[in-house]
Amino acid sequence: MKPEELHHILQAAASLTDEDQFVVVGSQAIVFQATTVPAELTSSLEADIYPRNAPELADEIDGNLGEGSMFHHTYGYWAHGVRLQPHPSFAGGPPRAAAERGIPMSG
Amino acid sequence: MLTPTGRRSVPVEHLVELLDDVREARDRGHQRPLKAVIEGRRQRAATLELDDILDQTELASVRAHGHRRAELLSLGYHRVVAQRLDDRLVRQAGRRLRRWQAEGKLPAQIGAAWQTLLDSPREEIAAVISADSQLSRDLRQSTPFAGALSEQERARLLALVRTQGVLSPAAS
Repeated sequence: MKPEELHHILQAAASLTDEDQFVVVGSQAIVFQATTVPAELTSSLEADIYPRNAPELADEIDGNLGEGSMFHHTYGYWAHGVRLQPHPSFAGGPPRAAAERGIPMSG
Repeated sequence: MLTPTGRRSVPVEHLVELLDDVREARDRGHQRPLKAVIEGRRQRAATLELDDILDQTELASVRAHGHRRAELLSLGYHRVVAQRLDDRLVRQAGRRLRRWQAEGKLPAQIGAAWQTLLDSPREEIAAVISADSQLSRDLRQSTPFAGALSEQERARLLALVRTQGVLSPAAS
């Protein structure tokens, strides 16, 4: 996924949820952080994300921007709304690689 | 739907598909064809049952790793597509694949793999998209069968998976 495609997903998620801060989980988090994005990371068409202050809205992301959705159908990339659940070995903070980014609201 | 430029729009392809369905309903004599189409989509979605799509072993694997739930949802989606696979769905997937390739959305290797599969007999396509193998999982990550099920059917699948506790904690 290209950085501008990830940005589009986050803009769409922000518009959908009225949230303006998101956590990007997994390999796509590096897209935000690296000055040069490795080719392996641009081959993924999925971004795992959740609203930082309203993780329960991850379902809305799956429903509207998820695999097989109108969004996916139209743009070719899609979002997986990650739902956080307590884990015995998880003391707090975002899991795996993660990056947070505030999203300027549009529309 | 929000476009990359910040505009809100409904994709033309979806509007055309809805219009075609409404015309068909009108031709069949429905007095309120739009309502008939929407209700028909809801009724079709209501027939989906998770037990018919995923087996118990697959459902039991839900906690195998953090992304397994999303994989099972994708697997279920494609099994429904495979059950309904006909020439029209394959043609639509081929058109979508070519558009994404032309727009540079797909890595060349993945696009070529999908093109080879879509050129195969329908039974082989159904078998590959329905398989719970690593190759099939990798292919489904960039599926051109997006849009093959109605939004009502997607919503039903999501709800079923949630109800069964199958959807989706963060990757651990």
